[in-house]
Amino acid sequence: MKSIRYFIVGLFIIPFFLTACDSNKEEPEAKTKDKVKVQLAWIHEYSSVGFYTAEKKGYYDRENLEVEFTAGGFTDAGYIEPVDEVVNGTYDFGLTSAEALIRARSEGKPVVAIATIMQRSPNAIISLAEQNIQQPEDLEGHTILVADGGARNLYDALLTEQGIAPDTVNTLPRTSFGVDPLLNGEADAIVGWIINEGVELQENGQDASFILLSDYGIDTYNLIIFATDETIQKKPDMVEKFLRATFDGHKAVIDDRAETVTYILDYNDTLDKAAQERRLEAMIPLINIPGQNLGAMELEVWEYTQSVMLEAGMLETGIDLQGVYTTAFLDKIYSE
Amino acid sequence: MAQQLLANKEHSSLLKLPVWQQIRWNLIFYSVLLAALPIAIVTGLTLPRRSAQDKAMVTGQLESVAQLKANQLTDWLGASEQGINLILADPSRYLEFQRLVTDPSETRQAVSSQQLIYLKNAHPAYESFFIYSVDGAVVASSDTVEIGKNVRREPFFANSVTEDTYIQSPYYEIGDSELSLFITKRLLNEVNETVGVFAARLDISTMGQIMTQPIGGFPETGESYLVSLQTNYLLTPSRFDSISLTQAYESIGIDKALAGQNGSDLYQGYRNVEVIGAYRWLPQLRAALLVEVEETEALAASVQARNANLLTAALATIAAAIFGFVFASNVARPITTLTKAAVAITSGDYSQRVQVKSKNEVGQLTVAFNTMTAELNRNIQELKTLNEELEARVAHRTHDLEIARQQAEQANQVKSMFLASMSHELRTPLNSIINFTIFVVKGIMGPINEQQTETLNTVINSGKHLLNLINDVLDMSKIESGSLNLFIEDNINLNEILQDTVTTAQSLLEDKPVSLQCDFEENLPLMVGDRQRIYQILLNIVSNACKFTKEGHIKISAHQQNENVHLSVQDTGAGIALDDQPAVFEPFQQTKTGLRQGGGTGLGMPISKSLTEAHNGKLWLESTSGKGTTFHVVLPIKSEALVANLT
Repeated sequence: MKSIRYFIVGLFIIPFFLTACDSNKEEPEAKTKDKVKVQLAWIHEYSSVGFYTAEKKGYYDRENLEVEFTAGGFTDAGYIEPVDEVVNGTYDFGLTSAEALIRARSEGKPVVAIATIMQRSPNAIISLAEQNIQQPEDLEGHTILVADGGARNLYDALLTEQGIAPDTVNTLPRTSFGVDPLLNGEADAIVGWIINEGVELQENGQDASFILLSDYGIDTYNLIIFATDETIQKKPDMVEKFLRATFDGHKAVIDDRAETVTYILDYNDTLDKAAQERRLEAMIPLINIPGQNLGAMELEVWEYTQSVMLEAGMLETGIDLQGVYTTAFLDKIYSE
Repeated sequence: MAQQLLANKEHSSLLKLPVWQQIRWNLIFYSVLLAALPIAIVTGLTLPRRSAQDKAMVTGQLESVAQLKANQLTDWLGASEQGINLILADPSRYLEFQRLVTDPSETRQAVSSQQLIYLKNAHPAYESFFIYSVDGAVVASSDTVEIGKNVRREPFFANSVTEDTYIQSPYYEIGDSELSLFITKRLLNEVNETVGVFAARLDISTMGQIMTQPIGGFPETGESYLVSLQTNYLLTPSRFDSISLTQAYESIGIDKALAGQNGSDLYQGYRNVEVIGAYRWLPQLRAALLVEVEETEALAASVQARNANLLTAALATIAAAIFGFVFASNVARPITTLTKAAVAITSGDYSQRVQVKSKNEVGQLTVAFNTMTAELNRNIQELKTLNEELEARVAHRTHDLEIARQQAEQANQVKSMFLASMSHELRTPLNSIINFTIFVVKGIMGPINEQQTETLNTVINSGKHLLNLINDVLDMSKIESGSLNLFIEDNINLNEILQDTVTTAQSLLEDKPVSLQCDFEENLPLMVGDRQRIYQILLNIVSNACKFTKEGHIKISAHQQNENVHLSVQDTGAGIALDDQPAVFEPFQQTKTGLRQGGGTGLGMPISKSLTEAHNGKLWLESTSGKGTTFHVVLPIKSEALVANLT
């Protein structure tokens, strides 16, 4: 009687023991991590979310890297130039534009692009829809604000390529951030980032029109990750690990925007989460191009950027573009 | 007594059986088990099959929906492509486009754009038409704003200049929240070189309509959608709220379809809920088509069946429990009654009888039990009677014995009184004999010769010996009759008594080769007691030692020990055999040695012991036969009882 009872009770109990078994996970050995310092191109915001995500999700940790990000942008001393910060050895990696990199290289600074975050240019001529500025020829007779530097060169290139005489457009220097000049009628259009000022205009409840410079072939890379010749020659493993983790971070952003946008606020809690998410949503199509790997760069685009710079007189003579960028690290990562 | 205890222990354990050992609960347990087990087994075997059948039915249904939608999409794309083929089949139109891209002019651009606007209006399935040069410049478009743009970096362009027909999977153009789906045809010259591209942007609302049609039979959660291979974005909206299109989605269904597989499965859907889904790879769109329904809705029928089963099982279990309870009570009650009766009998109540209600084995057991109890009761009654008779006899005997004992005691007392008075009567004339003989020996009655002196001394010695005997007998009889009175004094100097004793001992040992050793503590404390009697105790012991020691030594010791004085007399005499030792303190008993030595009444030591005890002290001996004897006396210095009787 007793043995039958134990048998029956056992029948009920055994499955619990079977399910209670758990596989033991082995902890990886702790090693001293390689320290990596990165000079961002701008303040802590959505444009760097892929980096924050790689950090928060432990991708750098996985690669045995300890990465520190320093915000860029303007200080009292002026714009923090990432190229200089990397060349002088303060930082291992920096983020900047294709034009800045070509110029630095032409000045003999030993910097090399290893990947680009934005494969398509976010530059656009942004206006209120009521202005009816939908194509370059519509600019004639309008007042346009353009900041000096890279954006102005691209804008000039657009006018040239579209055969628009510069004196038919009232082009003025843009001296402030934001879209107020459009809202208060100070200007008819501004040159800005579609993912920033474009979204801002919509946030102000305005129907906006965009002339995307890249639609007219005026397309350059932005948010390029670069390092010095010395770094990529002496620490190729570290560069590869950093890129692998960084692009895993960006992939995670594409997979789940809503989750990763919260990481931005961990770095800068003055930002508005919803606003950041709108900008991030607008930015992703510039990063994640159908049929292209994240970070990919093509010679054609570099050539185009250089040609615009030569035409604008920013460069006197062309340089060997093979020296400005390398896809060796990306090729290695994607061949795995 | 031990058996009684054991019986009580069993008795209590009988009443406090744990639940799992009680027949009643065992029977209930097994009847519930018998009812529940078959249901559990049947349910366990049939439910999974049922749910597998239901799942198969649902997946079949979803697969046919998926196939239907895939066909609709393919038909739509086929028709769209066919439409473009028809447009380009017009040779004069083709030539016009060819000239535009090979030799562009503003006039040709305007003419071709007008042509494209006309075509767009004639074919509402297309949103816009474009003609691109080989380097991506938009040279003509039904949407004039587009002219002047460059599409060489758009995802479709590289393929559109190498393939006759290319369908670009729907994607978001930068700055545009609408999906674009392009079908391109390359434009060839006479020598089959690509000179440009004709492109149509499709109105994708048709695709949306196909995909958002409700899934028959699953009104709550059924949905179908497309996922892009290149970005994992949704290409058609989810029916659920706050599901962004422009986000990468993954699930087993999406992943398998994007890997080129078709099929169906149960998996966690893109919203992280369990779904049953059918998936299809759409090669033309380079997209995954999924038709899914949440598992809970899909298998609602199975869940209902399972619930019905569980309800049945629960009801059956309850019924079994009730039946088991009644049945168990019927079986267990007579047994419990029997057990209680047996327990009562164990604790002595033999009047217990159990009513016979059933005629089964339990009934027979009850009858046997009753018979056994009756028999047991009769035997016990007989035993009781015998026992009582025996007790009466013992009581009678005890009474007789008591009377005899009292008579004997009385006789003993009478004997003692007789001895005491007789000794007193004997002493008086004996004293006269001794004293007058002493007068005669001393010559008071006139001169006597030597022979007379010697004879008279013999008379005196014999008289003294007789007097001692009488004194001893008197003391003993006083002791035995309880009429011995002590004359208690304060401040008795024990050293003086010891000195007197030593003097006497020295005279007794005059002619013997025995040395007398003394070990007295100086200034022994002054005692409370009867001086004469203490001297008597010591003298008795010491004179015995002198009498029985032929050679060697006698050692007298006296020391204070706390509240007592310890006196001991050690000799090197013959010793007393262990068997003889008790006799030393028995009146009128003499040891074999004593008898051999001759003399004495055999009363000295018993008297000494009694006197010591009358002083609340102790007297004992240690002896080894042939080696000597040591007598020990311990007397309290100031016994409270004696202090109270100070005279």
